[in-house]
Amino acid sequence: MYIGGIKEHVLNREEVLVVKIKPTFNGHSFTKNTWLITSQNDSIQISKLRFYLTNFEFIDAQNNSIKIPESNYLIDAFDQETLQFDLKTIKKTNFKHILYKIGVDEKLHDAGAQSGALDPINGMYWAWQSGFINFKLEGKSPSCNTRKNKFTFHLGGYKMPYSTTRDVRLDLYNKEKYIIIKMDISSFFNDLSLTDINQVMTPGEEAYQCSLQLPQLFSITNE
Amino acid sequence: MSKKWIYILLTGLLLFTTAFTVIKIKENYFDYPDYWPVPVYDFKKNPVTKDGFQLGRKLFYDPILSRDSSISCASCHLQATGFTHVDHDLSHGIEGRIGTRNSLALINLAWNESFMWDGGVNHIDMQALQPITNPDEMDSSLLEVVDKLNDIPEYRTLFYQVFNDSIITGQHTLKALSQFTISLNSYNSKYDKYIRKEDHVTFSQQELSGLELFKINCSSCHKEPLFTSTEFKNNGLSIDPTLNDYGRYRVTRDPLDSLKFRVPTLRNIQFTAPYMHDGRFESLREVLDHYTTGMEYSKTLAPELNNKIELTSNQKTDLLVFLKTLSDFEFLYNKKYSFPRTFN
Ligand code: HEC
Ligand code: HEC
Repeated sequence: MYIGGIKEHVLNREEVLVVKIKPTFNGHSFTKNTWLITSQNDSIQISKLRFYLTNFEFIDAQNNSIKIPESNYLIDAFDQETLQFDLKTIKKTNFKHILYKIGVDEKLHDAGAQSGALDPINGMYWAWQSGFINFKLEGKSPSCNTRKNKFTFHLGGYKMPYSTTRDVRLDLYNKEKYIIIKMDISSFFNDLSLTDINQVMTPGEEAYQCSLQLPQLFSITNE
Repeated sequence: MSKKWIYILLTGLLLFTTAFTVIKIKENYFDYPDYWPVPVYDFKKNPVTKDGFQLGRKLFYDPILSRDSSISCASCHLQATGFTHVDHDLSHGIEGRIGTRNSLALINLAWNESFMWDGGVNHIDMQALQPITNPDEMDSSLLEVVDKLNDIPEYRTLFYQVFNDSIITGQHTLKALSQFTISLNSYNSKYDKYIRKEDHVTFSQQELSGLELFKINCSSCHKEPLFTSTEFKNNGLSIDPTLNDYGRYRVTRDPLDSLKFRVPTLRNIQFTAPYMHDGRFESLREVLDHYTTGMEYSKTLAPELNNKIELTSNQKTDLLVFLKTLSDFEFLYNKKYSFPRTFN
């Protein structure tokens, strides 16, 4: 796999901040294809959950912004290796906020072949209609009147008005060893009835609407 | 600068005081006449080098790129036919949508703003994903291709020479291919030499008449010198109910884009049959018959075609004779673009 993004810079002193991603369903960790129940009362199994977190940035107590160059990560909820990464080359001070994008920076969708986490080798780039797939969620539910009851959400699209790349800004507590970002995928289904919407695989209005929910999935936790 | 170009330059200076005679040699493998528009392609991100071009060329002709190692890029993009497919039956040996569209000629691609008949691909690097990807899954099998390449020491050496990285990546594979395809420039047809007043090339009465007719009826879309405006237009083709291909609409979902396709270049058109996005016309005469008597008038028809094109049978012949002046044999038989028997 070609995951991970930061190029090693030659620095005198390199600081490292560890970020952990904790995928949950209603606050509980879950495994591939276990049965879960959404707030809409749909029974579901999740078989794939992959998405990009990119463009990390910190805001310190003096409101200075510290951007982490080339911080592009492809997260796979079922692949432990991708759930922790180091943000390098930043000074550890008292950061007040962490900022990042869910999905790939709009500017990079039409900039040709990229490297690292963004290499099209990772299967997160559309061949027929160029652009990254920012967020992939696949699984099954009896509520889906589709082949093998499958649902497929491949959220992408980088052109206005249907860009699906979303900004996240979270408050940080002081003095953590790690930054733990909790992701509660159950929120994705809060306003979504799987009977009505279960296949989104092209850019457009539907993908855009689904993407609006994404920032709500993330929060900072100290556990 | 090669002797030939110096010669052209000198004769240009001596005989004609027009600015048209100088050819700019930008790179070893990328050159174009200086009176052409500036290429759209950003060479800073992927400069064409000799080694990069040769690696791309090798990949282009290597069936390793298809999932089952059965076909290469060249199977559908043959040099002698302007790098397009001559055989109508495209679905043979491949899957998915690619079988429903006529292969595009690969000519002067550095001026394209987008790729494919509907512009669905936004960068030439990404075009190569299509033949190596399973469209049902939409999951890339580029990984498989790259794994196969990494197993071949010769490729690892070549990639190292070009990208200074001994591990072959998807990015580098795509960029190498682009270095080859972006360099396929055609500008030495009889028409070009006539325009440049080069080698004492002159146009016959028929060719002159054809050029005139072309300027009146066709060049609003097939704009000189690239013979495309790169815009999306509906040129009055009726919908084929077995394909239901609405062109640009697929990409933008805008009803105003229904039935629009990218205006293709007409360079080397004599050899790129069959014609149109679905290859419905076998000959250029059929194409002219379409423009004069076969037009389907629909809401999105290009305004340029609202007035009926009228051509007598003699005029059609003149136009056909002119279209043949767009054939560039130096391009079609240029050894540097052909199957790489040996390197360097
Ligand atoms: C099975 C046939 C086939 C193979 C193999 C194939 N192509 Fe194509 N190619 C096509 C077709 C068909 C189109 C037009 C697609 C469309 O518009 O939907 C096309 C379009 C293109 C274009 C866009 C040209 C333009 O003007 O927009 C490029 C570039 C290209 N191909 C390069 C390649 C490369 C590089 C490879 C090898 C990795 C390759 N092709 C392999 C059939 C093929
Ligand atoms: C309104 C713009 C427009 C005008 C004017 C126009 N064309 Fe076209 N032409 C197109 C478009 C768009 C296509 C591709 C259509 C498709 O495949 O759906 C095309 C396709 C063609 C093709 C097939 C090219 C290929 O590679 O398959 C030929 C040949 C051609 N035109 C010749 C002409 C000639 C000759 C004239 C003048 C009599 C003309 N065109 C006028 C827009 C135009």
